[in-house]
Order: sequence, then C-alpha cells, then structure tokens
Amino acid sequence: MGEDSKYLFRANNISKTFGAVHALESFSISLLPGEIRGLVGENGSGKSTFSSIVAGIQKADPGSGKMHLDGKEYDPAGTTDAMEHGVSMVVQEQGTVSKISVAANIFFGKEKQFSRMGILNVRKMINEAEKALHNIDADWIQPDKMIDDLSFEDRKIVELARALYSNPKIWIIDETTTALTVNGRQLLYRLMQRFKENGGSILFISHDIDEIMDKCDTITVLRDGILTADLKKEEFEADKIRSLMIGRKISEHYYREDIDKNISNEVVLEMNNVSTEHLSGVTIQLHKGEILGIGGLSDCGMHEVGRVMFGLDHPETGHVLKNGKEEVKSPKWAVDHSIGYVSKNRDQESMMLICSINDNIGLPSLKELSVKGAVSNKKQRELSEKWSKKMEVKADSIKVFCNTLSGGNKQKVVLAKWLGKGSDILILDCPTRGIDVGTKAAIYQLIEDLKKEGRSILLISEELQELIGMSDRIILLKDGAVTGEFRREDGLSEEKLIQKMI
Amino acid sequence: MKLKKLAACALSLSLSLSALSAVPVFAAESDPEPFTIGFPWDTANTDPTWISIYNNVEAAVESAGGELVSVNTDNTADDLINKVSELISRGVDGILLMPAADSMLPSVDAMCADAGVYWGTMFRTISDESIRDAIYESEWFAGGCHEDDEACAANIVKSMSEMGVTDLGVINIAKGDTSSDLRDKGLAEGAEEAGVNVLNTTYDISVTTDMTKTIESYIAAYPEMNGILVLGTYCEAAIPTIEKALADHDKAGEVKVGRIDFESDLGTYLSEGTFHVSYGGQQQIDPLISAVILVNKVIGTPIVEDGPTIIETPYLELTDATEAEQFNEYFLGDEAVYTADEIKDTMIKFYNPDIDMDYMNELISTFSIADVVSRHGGGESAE
Amino acid sequence: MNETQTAGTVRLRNGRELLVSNFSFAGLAVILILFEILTGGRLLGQRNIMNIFNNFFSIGMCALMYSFVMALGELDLSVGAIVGFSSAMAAFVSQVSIYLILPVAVITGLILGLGNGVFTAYLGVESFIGTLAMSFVLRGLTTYFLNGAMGIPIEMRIFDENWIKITALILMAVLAWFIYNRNKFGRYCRAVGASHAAAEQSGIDVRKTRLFAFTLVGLACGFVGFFTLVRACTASSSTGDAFEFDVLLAVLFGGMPLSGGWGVKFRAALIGALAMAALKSGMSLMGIDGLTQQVVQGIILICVVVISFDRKNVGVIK
Repeated sequence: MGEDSKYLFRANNISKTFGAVHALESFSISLLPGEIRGLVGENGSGKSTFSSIVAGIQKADPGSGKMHLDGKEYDPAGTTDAMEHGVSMVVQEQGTVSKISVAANIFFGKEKQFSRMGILNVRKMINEAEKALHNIDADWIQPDKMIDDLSFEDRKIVELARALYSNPKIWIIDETTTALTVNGRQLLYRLMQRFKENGGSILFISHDIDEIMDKCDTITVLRDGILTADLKKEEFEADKIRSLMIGRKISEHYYREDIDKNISNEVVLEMNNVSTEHLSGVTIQLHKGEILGIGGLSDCGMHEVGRVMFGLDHPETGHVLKNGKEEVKSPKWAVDHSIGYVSKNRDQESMMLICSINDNIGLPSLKELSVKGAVSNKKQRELSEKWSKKMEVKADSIKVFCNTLSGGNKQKVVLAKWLGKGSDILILDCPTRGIDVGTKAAIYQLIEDLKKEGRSILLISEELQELIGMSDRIILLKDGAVTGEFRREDGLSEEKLIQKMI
Repeated sequence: MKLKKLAACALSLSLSLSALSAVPVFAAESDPEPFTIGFPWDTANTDPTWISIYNNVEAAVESAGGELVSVNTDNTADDLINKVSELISRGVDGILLMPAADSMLPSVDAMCADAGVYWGTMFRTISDESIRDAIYESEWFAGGCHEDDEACAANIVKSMSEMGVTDLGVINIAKGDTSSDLRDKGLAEGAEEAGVNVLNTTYDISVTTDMTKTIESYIAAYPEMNGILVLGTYCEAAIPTIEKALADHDKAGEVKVGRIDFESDLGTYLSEGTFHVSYGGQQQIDPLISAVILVNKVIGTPIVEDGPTIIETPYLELTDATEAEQFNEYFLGDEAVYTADEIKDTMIKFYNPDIDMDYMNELISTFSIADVVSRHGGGESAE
Repeated sequence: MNETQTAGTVRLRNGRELLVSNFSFAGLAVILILFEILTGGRLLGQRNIMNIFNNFFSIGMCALMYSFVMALGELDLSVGAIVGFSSAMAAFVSQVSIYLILPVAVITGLILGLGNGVFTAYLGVESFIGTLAMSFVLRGLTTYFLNGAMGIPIEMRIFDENWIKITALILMAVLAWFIYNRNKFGRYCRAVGASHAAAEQSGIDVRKTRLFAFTLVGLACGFVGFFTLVRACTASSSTGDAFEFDVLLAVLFGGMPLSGGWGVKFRAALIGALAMAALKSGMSLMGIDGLTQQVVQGIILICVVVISFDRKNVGVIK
C-alpha cells in the first residue's frame, strides 16, 4: 500500500520480443489519476507495442514484469477483457467496421445488451448511440447512418465515442490526431481535458512534438524498446525530446531552405477544368522540377486531386493530360508513363502487407526486369537491395514481410518502389502521415533530391508546416474548388493559407 | 464376303472344338478355378433397390466360387471408363457394368481386349446398330441381360389408359440413356394407340426436392392431368415423394400413379389406393442373370458357344398390395432372388452341362413373385 | 478493405501459413503411407501407379491453371461444366471431321474461360456467383445439344495413350510453372490477390489480369475435355460432373489459401491433386463404399479450410 495506492496504473519491467528483436525491454511506467502522459519515440521504438499490451491486443513475454490497475494485478485476456477492466484505446489506422451503421460500430461486440431473445432492438441501440455521441459533443453525426457515408474524420470520432462510452479509467490515444483536422483535434483535446478532470489517466502517443508538449503533463521517451527519459512539464524542450528519441542531435536542416525562382515553364502533368463527385472545375498544372503543394481541410477534395491525376478516378468533365497532350487513362497508363503515386492509405493501397520487401519494390518494374518473358530474380533482388539500401529501410533482408515493418519503414519501401521504377512524376498523398521524425526528415531530403534531379512532385498534405517547408508553390482547395495559390518566393505563412482553407 | 464367312465358320468351329475339348478337363475337377468379377456400382446410393442389385450380382458370382470386387462409380460414361481401367489393373477376370451410353462400349471393349478381360452388361441393350455389330463380334463380350423397355412402356401406358387416364405427366431417367430413350419410344407408341395425351416429360431428376418441384409444377400447369407415370428415375424414394406432393395438393388417389421399376414403398400406397400400377421386378433378376452370363463365360463354359449370350427378362406387373409386400420382403431383402446355391444348381454350366439358351429362357419364364416366395419364404412351411 | 492489424495477429498468420504449406506435404505423406500399409503395398504397386496417374491427370491439369485464379483470391466453380461443354462441342464436330476434335475442345474451353473473365473482371460479378451461373448455363446447354450422349469414332482412343497424357501434362505443367513463377503475369495475379488496390496503384491492369487468369483455366478445361472425350469416346450431359469440387478440394488440400496472394504456392496444385488421386485410389483399393468416401472427403475439406482459413478478411475493432 502507501506508495502504490496513489497510482492508477503501474507497469513494471515489461518485455516483449519478436524473434531476436527486443521490441520492449524491461519497460516500467506509472500513471497517476488525472495525468496525461505523452509517449514518444521513433517508429519501432516500442510505443505501439507497449500500448497494445496494455489494451490486451498482445501479451507481454511470459515471465516478464506485471501490470497493476487500481492496485489489482491486471493481465487482460483480450481487448474486450481490457475494456471491461476500464482500458480503452483509439488507434491511428481506421478501426471501424464498414457496411454497418454508426450505432452498430459504437456497440460492435456489445450488441447483447440491446438484444432480447436474440432479436436486436435497433431503435434502442440508436438511441443509446445518440447519447454516446452527445456525450462527446459530436451531435452532428447521425447514429443510424452507414459508417461508409462518413468522412474519415467522422469515422475517427465514432471510434472516440466507442472508446469513451464504457467510461474507461485508462485511455490510450495512439497517433489519432494525424487523422483529424483542426476541428477534430479541438474536440479531442476537449475530451482529453474532461477525461483528466474526471480522474482518468491518458496515454497519449503522437509524432507531433509540439502537440505532445502542449497537451501532456509528463512525457516518457522510448528508444529501441528502452526507456530513455521521464520528463516533467518544466523539463519539456523540443530539441531535447527529439535528440532523446533519436539518440543523436538532429541537424537543423529539416525542411528545404532554398527558394527556386527558375522553375521550368514546361507543364508535365495537368488537370484542366476537372469536375468529379468531389471536385468542381479544378485546374492545376505541375511543372517540371517543381514541388507543388496541395492543401486544404481533409475533405476539401485534395486527395481526389491525387487520385484523378493518377488515373484512379475519372473526371466527369475536363481532362488530365501528361505533357500537354496525352490523356491519363488509367493507373497502368500512368505508371507506364513514369508517374508514381503514394496513397494516404498506405497499408491498404500502396503496399502488399503479407508480402516481402523485394516483391513490393519490384512490382511496378516487373516489365523492365523481364528477359524473354521471364522475370530475372537476380535483377529484381539487385533493384530491391539497391533502393532499400538507399532509402535505409531497417530490415534484416529484403525477404522480410512488410507487415513486420514500422510505419516509417513501410513508407520507405513504398517510395523505393517508385524510385526503382524511375518515375519522373511523383504524386505523394500525405507521405509523412503517422511517421516518426527521423523518417520524416529522410523523406523531406529525398523530395528535395528528386527535385534537384529535375523530377516533379505533387505533394498533397494536411500539414501546413510541411507544405510551407517543402513546396515551390501551394494550391489550396475548399469544397472541391481552388481557392488560392501561393508562391514560395512571395513568402508563405500558416495564417495566409488558413484564410483560403476555411 | 465369302472369305469372311468362311473365316467366321472356321473360328466358330475352332472355338466350339476347344470348348468341347475343355469340358472333360474341367469336369475332372469339382469346382472351377477361383476368379474375380469387377463391378463398378454406385455404392453411395442407399436405395433398397440399388443395394438389392449388388446382392444379386454377388450371389451369382459366389455361386461358382468367385470373388466380387466392387468399386464406387457415379455410373457416368467417363467414370465408368476410369473404373474399368482401374479394375483391369487390379487383375479381375471379368467386368460387369451398366452402360451409360452405347458410344462408350467400344472403349470398354478395346480396354478389355487389350487386357484379356471378359465383360458383360446389365439392364441395357445396344441400340446403335454399328456399335452393336462390332461389340457382338468381340470375343471378350460375354453378353448381358436386358428388358424390352419399349414394349414395357407401351404396355404400362395402356394399363393406365384402362384405369381411365387420359392426360399424363411423365418422369424419365435421362436423355441419351439407352433404356430411357427406349421407354420414351414405347410411351409414344402406347399413348398413341390408347389415345392418351402426354402433357410433359421431365428428365434427370436425382434428388427428392426436384421431384417435388416437378410434380407441383405439373399440378399447377396441367389441371387436367389425371395420371403420373414414372418411366424410370435414379431419384431415391421417388413414389413416396410423388405421393406426398399429390396429397399436399389434395390430388392423392385422384391422379393415377404408375411406374416402371418396383420400389420398396409401393405396397402402402397400393393398399391406400393412391398408387396404381408398376411394372418391374427385373431389377433383381436382370443383374443376377447378367452376372450368371459373365461368370459362365469367365469360367470357360459360356451359355452360348459362338457369340454373346443375350437374354431378355420379362417385366412383372404389380397392382396388388399383398404382392407388393411380398416384393419388399423377398426381392429387397438381404437375399438374392436366387440364392448362390440355387444358381449353382440351376444356372452354372460348369455343373450343369445341359444349359443352353432354351433352358435359360424356360427358367426365366417361371420367374415371378410367387416363384421367389415359394422357393424362399414358402420353404419354411414346406419343411 | 479496412482491416486493422497488429504485429501479434500478423505473426500468428505467418505461423499458420507455415503450418499450411507443411500441412499439404504431411497430408500427402500420411495418405501415401497409410494406404500403402492398409492395402498391403498395393497402392504404390506397379499396377496401381497408372490408376493414380489417371485419377491425377484431369484434376492435376486443371489445378495447374487454377493456381492463377486462387492467387487472385477468386474461385471458378464452372470448370466441371466447361469440361463437359467443350467435350460435347468436340463430339458434335467429330461428325464433320475428327481433326476438329482437339482444336474445338481447346478453343471452346478458352472462349468459356474468357467469358468467365469478362463476367468477373469487366462486369464486376463475384467470381463465385458468376462462375456458378456459367456452370448452370453450360450444363443446360450441354444437355440440350447432346440430347443425352454422343459418341466419337473409336479410333480417337489412340490419344488415350499414357505417354501422350504424360507428355501433355508435363508440357502444361512447365507452361503453367513458367507463367506462374517466372513470368510477370504470375506475380501480377498474386499481387492482385494480396491487395487489389496496391496492385492497381502499381500499374497493374487488374481487370486484364483477372481476364487472363480465368482464360487460362478455361484453356486447361478444354484440354481436360478433350482427354475425357477420347478416353470414353463419349460425351454425355454428365461429363465433368462434380469435377469443380475435385479440383477445389485438391488445391485447398495442397495448401492454397482461399484469400489468395503470395501464400498461393504453385507446387500446391500438384501436391493437392496427387494427394486427392492417391486418396481416391487408396479408398477404392480398400473397397470403401461410395458413401464413406464422400464422408472422408468432406471431413478432409473441413479440416483443410479450418487450417487455411484466413481471418484477415474479417473486420475487427481493437
């Protein structure tokens, strides 16, 4: 008793190994009631491993330390068991089940409480869902709507409602803010504050150091599965945290610093007066050697711009042209004509997860790797090795399956695939979403290098800092229409951009 | 031509000579050499008729000390060919099968000829003339049993007409099946002669749900229908299914029901007056005699010396509940219609050198339900 | 696709894949050893080897090309009907000339496979439903055209020689192996099966890939139809009955996951077909009746699907 009883949650010497890799080594943490604890570290540092152990998704190594919740020993059998003990989690990836209603999502796995004699009382469930949404100030979401009709952000908010409905004591928020817009974030912050006031503890995981410093009471830094520091609010300092995470001082050089006034007039890819379900009369031109940023709120249509430019979505009216004359017909045509695309849904759309690095990198280049109808395994291996080395993908070999890689490493594989193909035009949709600082810097450096080689980049991003830091030119969209255009040489600021966004 | 005839004469002469010379050799022994008969059969079918066919073949094979080797088949042409090949590789001395089509028989004969294995058929004639001629020429074809399907179908239609049937719904096995086609032909002839109107014919019903649907659609489409005739089907429990469908639509007894091939539940419906006439009984005697023909050939004492032994077995008519009960007991029971001992005593030429076609035809003409009852059931009271 | 994954479930799946690929080898070994003992050495005896081959031939030939469809994560339930229909068409034209038998069987199979491809790839019909519908249509047409059964000249039996069939199977196996493991098309199929979106966004023409995969299966069925026809010299409305299930059972037994993707190994087609052929032959040698054989096959199917069932397509909230 005594010392122990003041903590709501304690974990002592938790370890987790995957084969030879120590994902987590003797990690200990204690949470006070009403504490917001930030958990930071590069991808693969063990944050997600730890949070998933707490949430009951996986088990710590047998024989390693124990967890205590409310003074009692805590060893969840699964996520449902964890929830019943009062531990809820919201994750980075989409965690809703498609093709069912919002209400059914909130009470997924808990339908029993609305059933009598095996018959589900839908009305009752919807009423209860309405309450759950009201409790988190998300009244605009209709509980009887199909989940697929909601925007990505609203779906995330449904997950919040689900996580908070059971009145948990511990709330784990894993990289959730990257999926949210400004409004969504404000809502989340309000909910966090309320949760804290009610005496709960929050484990907050984010790559956004500013956000962490702003919202958390204390910060725990992890590196390679080992706890490197526990910081109190007064010890917060961005550079210090970054270097604790990476283990070395990162260079000042993060975004690009030059201003390129000599962008070629040659238009390599353009959309002329394109309208689709989400876009109305959008005209965008990408010049050779240019980094063109596309920004706006998450449902402004900027992601659709990328999809249309790559031939994934077809314009109802208007044209997408390469080099001013050839129509972009399909993704296959685009890839054959040296256009590469990185989707914002990396795990679902940009890569094959249950598949090796080698097969992922080689996929778009199989035609070039073929000799007399047979794909040369040697050539493919060489290609994959060359580019995964160049991109510094952290893996034992190119035979490693991508599902075992961290988010940052996965993104490096995706980029390596287009570099290997030698694409001149790259459409990057949120290429740094949910990625650690180290990889982010590497991706920025890569984009800069590509520009220097004369390649053209369409950078679609929800992060204004990133757009400002990287783009030669920024086009802003609102409700599917272009609302503003800014040039790097004219000076850029967040305020200027936000005005055109809302 | 002359040369051919001459050759045929010489061949038959030499064959009969060799057969004659073989008699004393075999006669010196008390039993023929042990042998095996291969029998591809649908052993997944649990219908009592299907099982009784197996039992009757087995009795005939065992009567002369042979062993029956059965392999499972769905009785389709390709699968039968596969099973013939399998049985040959397993070293059987003879193969008995129910052909799915005439056109498969040359393949069977060629395979058997290559391997030196005798083969015979049951239930089916060969309607294609050129195939029939070629097969009958083959020294490896032992012959087989069949029924006059055409006459049978014509006769049952006429009997139904006498019961007052004017509009008839028909079920048959499958187009292309030899028996099925012959029964269709007989149906057409009988219907024309008796002035019966054939409303529709449905083929290839293999499960009871399809049978129910067919009968229900007949009832719906043809209110004038007053007779249902099953010319043949591989569907299990066909009559109970039909009776159920008729009863559900208050048509039981009103619509006269007839079928070729007996099955186990006829007695109940005959006594209730909802089923009326069946021609059959051949399903037990035919495979038995077919196996007898093959066995005799395999052990070196063929019933007909030159050429195949082709025997036609008659249909028995069933219109009476007592007989139907007797049929159930004595035809569909575990015992064959002739026991192995009875076959040995009366149908195996090795033991009875006098057997010839006339003898066999004579023997078969005495075959009836009463005959089986007197030999098997009647035996108890006699003793 | 909105599955959420964690390292834990992923590792579990890799473990299961390992189990699945070894399961088929182990299964084959168990079947061979078990029946070799039970039949007193007759299963692998000289005489029975050709029986196993005959059982293996049709299933194996079709399973080779079925790998592509399985890699896509699709099913083709029309293979039996295509075999039946192409042999019927070939029997039909044999009346004109026996030289037409082979080309017509193969081309018919090819066209029908192409039809399946168009349904699934371009008209967006689920392969399960599309090929099932195709199967019903073809079965009906086969019965209609043949009016029961139709024979071809007995001379065509010369094609039923073992050396011809062995050669044909080897050629088909080499061709399928090359396309599956060496040519880019095989990888395209697995990529589409692994992630439809990722394949499309890597510049693969997903629809064309589907179209070709189904066409290849049709081609194989055309050949199977030809060899079935020349074996019995008869095409009947029941030719190829239930063949689709034999093939499906074989590829599943070989360890191909229903979900498709990179877990679909080419060797599975051959191992599975061999295991099924040995199983059938062993049961037949032992004199096991048809009903029990069906039960045994059903139990095996359940076991295989339980082991290889991929939970990745089931949405889970964490």
